[in-house]
This record gives sequence, C-alpha cells and structure tokens, in this order.
Amino acid sequence: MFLVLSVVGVLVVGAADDPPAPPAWPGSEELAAFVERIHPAVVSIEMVFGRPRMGSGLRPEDDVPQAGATSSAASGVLISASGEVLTNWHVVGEATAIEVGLPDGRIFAGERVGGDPLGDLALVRIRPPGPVPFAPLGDSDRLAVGDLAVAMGNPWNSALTDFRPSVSLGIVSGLHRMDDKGEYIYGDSIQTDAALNPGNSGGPLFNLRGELIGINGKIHVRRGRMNSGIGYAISANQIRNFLPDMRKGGVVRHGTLGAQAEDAFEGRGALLTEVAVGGAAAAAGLQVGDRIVELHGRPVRSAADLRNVLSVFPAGWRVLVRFARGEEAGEQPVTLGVFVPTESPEGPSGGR
Amino acid sequence: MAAEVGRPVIVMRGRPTRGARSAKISRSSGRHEVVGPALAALTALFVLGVRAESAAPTEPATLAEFQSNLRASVSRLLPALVKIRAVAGTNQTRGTAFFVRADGLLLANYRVANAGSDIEVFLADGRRMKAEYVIGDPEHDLAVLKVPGEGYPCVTIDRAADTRPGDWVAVVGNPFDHWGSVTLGIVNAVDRLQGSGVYRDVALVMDASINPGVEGGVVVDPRGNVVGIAGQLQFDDRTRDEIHFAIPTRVWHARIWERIEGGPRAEGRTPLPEGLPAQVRAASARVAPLLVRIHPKWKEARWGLVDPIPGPYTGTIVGPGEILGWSPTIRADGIEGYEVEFSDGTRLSAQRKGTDERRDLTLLVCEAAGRDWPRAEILDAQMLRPGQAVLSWSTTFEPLGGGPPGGEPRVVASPFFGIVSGLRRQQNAVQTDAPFLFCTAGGPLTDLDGRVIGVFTQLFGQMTQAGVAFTIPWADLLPTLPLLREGRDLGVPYLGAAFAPSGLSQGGVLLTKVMPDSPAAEAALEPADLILSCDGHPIRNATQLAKLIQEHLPDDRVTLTIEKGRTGERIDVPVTLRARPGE
Repeated sequence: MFLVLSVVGVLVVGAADDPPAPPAWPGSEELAAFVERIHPAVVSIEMVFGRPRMGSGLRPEDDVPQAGATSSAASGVLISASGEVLTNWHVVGEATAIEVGLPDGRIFAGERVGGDPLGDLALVRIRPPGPVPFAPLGDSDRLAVGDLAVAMGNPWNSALTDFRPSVSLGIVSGLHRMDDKGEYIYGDSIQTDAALNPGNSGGPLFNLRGELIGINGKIHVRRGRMNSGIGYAISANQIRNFLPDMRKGGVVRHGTLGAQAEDAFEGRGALLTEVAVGGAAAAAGLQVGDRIVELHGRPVRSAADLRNVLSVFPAGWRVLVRFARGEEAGEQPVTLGVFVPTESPEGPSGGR
Repeated sequence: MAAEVGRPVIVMRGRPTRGARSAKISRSSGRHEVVGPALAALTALFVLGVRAESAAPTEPATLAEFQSNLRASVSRLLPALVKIRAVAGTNQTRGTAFFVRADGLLLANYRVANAGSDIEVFLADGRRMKAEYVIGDPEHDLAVLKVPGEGYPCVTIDRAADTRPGDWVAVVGNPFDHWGSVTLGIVNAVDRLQGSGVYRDVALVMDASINPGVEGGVVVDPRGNVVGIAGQLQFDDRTRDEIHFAIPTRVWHARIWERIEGGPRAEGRTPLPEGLPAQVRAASARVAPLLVRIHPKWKEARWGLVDPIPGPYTGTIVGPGEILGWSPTIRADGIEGYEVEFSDGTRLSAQRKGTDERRDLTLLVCEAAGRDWPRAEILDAQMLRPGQAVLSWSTTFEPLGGGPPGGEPRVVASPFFGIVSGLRRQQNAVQTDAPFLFCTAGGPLTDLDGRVIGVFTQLFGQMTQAGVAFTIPWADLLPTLPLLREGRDLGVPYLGAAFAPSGLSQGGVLLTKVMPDSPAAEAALEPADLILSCDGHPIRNATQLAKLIQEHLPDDRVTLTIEKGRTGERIDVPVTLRARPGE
C-alpha cells in the first residue's frame, strides 16, 4: 500500500533563511563513505540447529522439519576474496546448516572449516563463483583507548531481509580485557561501547581505516538491558594467531604453560607456585619461585596478566618468557602445551 | 547559557600550596578530620603547559583528528585514575577516583566512599593502598580521599560551567572489574531536572554509557577539559529511563575544592570550538516548535498489572492539531486524558485518536482554532546514508526551578546522538543506534541540522536503551494520519502461519503450521506448502516475508506464489490479511 513509494512530493528540504553551520561533526560524510566502502564484507548468517529443512519437493508424508529444529541469525565478516568468513563459535559451532547472506543480496551455503571453541572463534567457508569483497585484518596492538570503533552486523535480525548490515558507532573503551564468565574465554579482548545486541555476534569491529580489529561476541547484560555499553570483541591479533590452524580444519586448542601462578608483590609479575611435571614450563626449565615479567613481548605484572596474555596463543606455539629467578633475570622460549579447561574454583581457566 | 572564554587544559601536574592551614570539615560525616598539614606538603611542579587562549579553536576536520584529540585526552587522564573498593560493615562498594593533587588527594563519589567506610585504592601502576576519607558533600555526592605519598599524576578539574548540550564527552571510570574504561557520548541536557534521584539540582545528563563502578569517574571533553564527575546510575521517576548523570565541575569547586584551597582559583581552559553545540542549538531551535511534552491525566488509581510510565512523554506535531506519540506509554490503562505542552508554553488538552499498532504510534488531536501550527522541514529518508549522524529528542527534561514565566520556555528539546545504522528495515524504517528511551520515544529523529526524518519508535517491543531503534519516515507516516484521525486503529497484519527455520534454501519459506480460522486457513494454505514470493517479491526467509506482510494493513490483499507441498504445483494464492487477534 504505502510502502516505499510514497516519498515524493512532501519534501521541503532546505529553508533558505538559516544557512547551515559548517560541519561540526566530520563524521557524517566521512562515516557514510566509510560504511559504503566497508560494508560489502559484512555478512549475515542464518543457522539451523537440529534437523535441517529438506528440499522443496517435500510431501506431507515426508519429514516436515521437526519442532526441535530452530534457526537463529547472527553476523560474520569475509576475510578473503575466496570466501572465508569469520564468526563466533557460539554462532555456528553447533549449527547443522549455515547460510551466509552477502550485502549484495546473494546467499551461499556455509561450511564450518575450523574453530576455536574456547576462544569463541570459527571459520566458515562459502564458495562464491568469483572474488568477494573482504576486510583486511588490522593490528589490534596498535589500538588506543578512545579510538573510534565501528561495529557492523545483524542485531535482532534487522539485516536479514536484505543482508545490509547495521552500523553502530562507538569507541575502544578498554583493551586487554579478560572476561571468562561463561563458556568462552574472552582474553586480551577489546571492550567497546558501540551498540552491540543479540545478532551482532560474529560481526566485525572496524577501526577508522576500515581494518578488522576484532570480532564482536559478548555483551554485558545488566538488569535485562542488552546494550549496557560494554561489549567485547576478540582481538584481530588473537585471530591472526589462530587463523593458520583454523584454516587447516578442526578445532584449535589454547596454549598453556602448565604452571600455576600468583601475583608477585606490588605488580612485579606472576610468581610460579606450581610447575606441572612434564608440562611446557617444566620442559623449558622454569621452576617454582620464578617470577614471570614478560611473555612474548607483553609485560606481565600479575597472575591475571599472565593468563590474559597467554589466552591469545594456540597450543604448540613457541613463546618467549622473561622471568626473574632470585637476583637473576632469565629468558626462555617455551613451547605451549594444550590447555584443558577445568572446573576449578578459579573458574574455567584456572590451572593454566 | 553564557559562554566563557578561558578554559584550562587538563594537565598532570603538581601545584604549589599556600602554606599550612586547616581544612574544612565534612558537614555530616560524623568524622571530623583535620587535614591541613598533610595537604600542605609541597609537591614537585611539572606543569605541562596551558594552551594559549588566543588561538581560535577549530573543529576537527576529519574523524582521525577527532579520534586523536580523544585519544590524547584519555591518555592524559588514565595515569591519575584509581579504582576504589570501600567496605562499610557488610556492604562493599566499588567505584572510581582520580588524583586531583600530587600529594595524594583523590576525588570520589560520596556514596562510594565516605567516613564510614574502609577504603582501599588500586593505582594505575599496580600499587594498592589504604585511603582515608577527608571531606565530602553527601548532598552532591562528592568526597575527597587521601593516600600517603606524593608525586602522583593528577588531573585538573575544570572550574567553568559552560558545558553545552551537544558537547562531546567521554566518561572515564572502572565499570565492573575493569580498570580504565572510556565511553563516548554527547551532553543531552545541562541544568535540567529529571524526575528524581540524588542529582536534583546539579543535572548534567549525557548519553555516554555508565555502568556500576564508574561512579566518581571524570567526564572529559575532547580537548581534555574535565567538565563533570560521573554520578550513580539513576532511574527517572517519571519516565523510568536510566539516566546518566554527571555532577558539573562547578559544584565540585564550590562545594569542595574552594574549601580545601581556601578560595577560587583562576584556571586557563582549552577553548572548545562552537562546532557541534552550535549546530545542535540551531537544530534544537528548529525542531523545538514541532515537539511537545505530553502530560497524561491519570485516573486516581493507576496501579494495574503493568506499572505504567507516569510521564510526561515526548510527542511530535505531524499536522495541524495532530500529535504522534509512542503507544506503549501514552495508551497505558488508567490514562483518561492528555494535556499537551508546546514550546511556546501553551497548554492544550488533547484527545486520543487511532493507534498504528504496527509502529506503536498513537495520534492525539488538539482543537485550537487559529493556532499557527508549525510545518516540519522534512529530510527524505531516501537521502540518508548509513553512518550519517542523527539526533533523537526528548522534551521531558525541565529547567531547574521550572523556568521563569515568560522567560525560557519550559519545553526544551534535548538531543541524543546516534548514527544511521541501516535503511529500509521493517516497514521501511530507518534504523539508528541513538538511545531509545521512554523520554525520546515518539519524538522526531532529525539530522544534525534539525531536519525531520520521521518519528522515533521501537519495532521490537518496549526494549529501551538497546542501541537498536527505528524511525518511521515521514512519507510513510502521512498516509496513515487520515485513518488515525478518524479514530481507526491500524492493527498488525496477520497471516496466521508458522514457518520452518530456513537454511540451505534456494528460496522460499516452508509452512509448518496454519492457525485455525486465519487468513492462511481461508486461503487454503497447508503445512508443507512452500511460499516462493509475496506480491512478486521473492522470499528468502520468514523474516523477509514478515517484513513484506507488515508493509500492509489488515484487510489488504496480498498474492502469495506457492508451491503446493501435496502436488508440487506452483500457484498464485490471494490472501486477505486480517488484524492479529488480541492476546
């Protein structure tokens, strides 16, 4: 009836008496151009859980999809011209069917290639006939608190009609956040106040250069309020570490030192209190009482820091550990072991 | 509000003291502590410099410049940031504090840390220490704490009080367990009163997020001026909105700092460009005549099953005597009439007409012969681009003291910032991340110049503050107004069918259930039918079908192209929609 066509004829744009002020917020034009340039890499994902639907030749006596089958929708981002899509593990990890909608309107079946179930990351492949737009991976270590951040995705399924993503603007509220409440460990993650809502999961967080700096996956829900202004994105640099193994297929494990640590006095590092026999730390010659002060170039001031920095490395990675033993300083490469989440009182990631 | 010329830059610096003296004493704390000698300890001076005031401020020309200003402001603040944990009996509070003097004086919220609490602070450099309460002002929720030592990096708290609606602000604090979190927003209202709470007479309201733990954090503008101190999360009595308050720094100076320092102290200040506030002011002047404050008249007992929002609410003038408001508030049970307040101070009574249930908008009509009704300057929603800045507006903030008669009008438009998130969503709506609040619902959405895009609503129920909200474009509202004026309620169009979750489809949605006595049943649709298109638009998923259906009104006829599950035959089926039956 009066859908899209009724716009002409009521426009009174531009009163002459009030000349517009010079643009006070440079964002409008610039951001609009940014969105036009970047959004083609952002996809909507629809997942089916349980029994996938059958083809269209269905008969009533055939299997009509059962009540157990549900679908839900979320977001993702293309990271290669060949059709690699990054999203969250919690989006596609359990899905029996994955559909990926591109902003140009095309839909492709998605295939789960690999993932990091603990770090909530998954790689999905679509098979487009030609190259697709994609977002370059940025360097999340170059971010600073206060940087503008643009989130895109499919909150509340708002983009599922034409797959054009929703855009929200915020800033980098915090860096190197650890949030391990629940099933997933968001270690060393990016905190943002860009509006994130259910359905934004798996969608990209961009910097002003249009580089992918993180995958949005988690929000703080307060008093039932979805968008409390605290959301978390898995950092691009963690993604970069896990991507090679995810591309090879299967599940990528997180790395561990095989040691327990506690806070050293006054922020002077992480003091090893237990070194598991046969573990990575033991194999590298680390001992109880060693005080770790740096891991792979990142300063470690507490046991929490150690856990946070460790969380971005897959098992099998060789990382450089700087530590103090008594009066002496040492440096030792450690090949990380496989981290096994436990239900210890310290939470799922205790026992690192 | 008068603009002030000189503004001090935030610098981390020690400052000279003026010799030993006794500090003032907290009025109501019960713990009277003399802090003179400790405060008088001389500290090192490392003034980083005050910018020349003569340099005319300029707007950032690019987002990158905006970002680097913000980055710089924040990075200067973070070294002075402290996390507080205060224990009073069994009650533990968390919050934020900032060093305001190099000898260890900290600014905090009174409700977080006061005379009755054991206070522990966590510093940026990893140290943790005990802090003592020095003085405070419970009325304005301000406290001063002290830790031993000297040489702390500190912030200068701006004395000026000329923060304006539209100023960018960043809030720095410690939400939950996080240290040093920053959120961005604009100032919505200054010296405006919301319904309730502790910040009655010192309101500075912003749309930057605040979460528990940020109390006592500082509010800084992009040039690094500290303009406020974050307050507790408050819920407005009247609109039930969560309001993000800051205590203006002039209150800090008048109530606390002058008592410590023994008098006012001149500060240089980094001048702010007129920029956004000026544009917002112009937009506000343009949009205010279109805005109304709707006062509901309640029956005596208004306690139903659902606690209604007491009001007032915001409404938009859409035609002569015609006002649209948001149904979930203005149609609450127990409202028996309305009074509508205009920006010129006039109050008229209004009658409720029809409701567009698809959009949650209700029409109110006032009779006022001879009144000059404003005409909105419309911005065609088709001209919008995702990413473009927009403002939503509230009329529910009142001037302190109610405003003088004949002076400033009581109804003032308070802006909330957002960007266009998406276009042509359900019902052709414009999606935005501007905060959807009970106080902005039913108001207009405009661009930064105050041109009206449409009326602000929420197509996902009553969810507020979600960062996902919708605006029905003006051109889509107009055709419904004559129907609503006749008192017609426009129901939600209803097909009466359920669909399988899609997935791996080449198109179409699969019908799994047909409700008895529904339009779908009348049209002889059956489970296992595959709906391929609606009025010629190919259907890919159920959401898309729902969107197409919702663009209609009940009693409209749509044509569905289906593939019959039974026979595989492809046919066109006309379906006459109906209003969704009541719950």
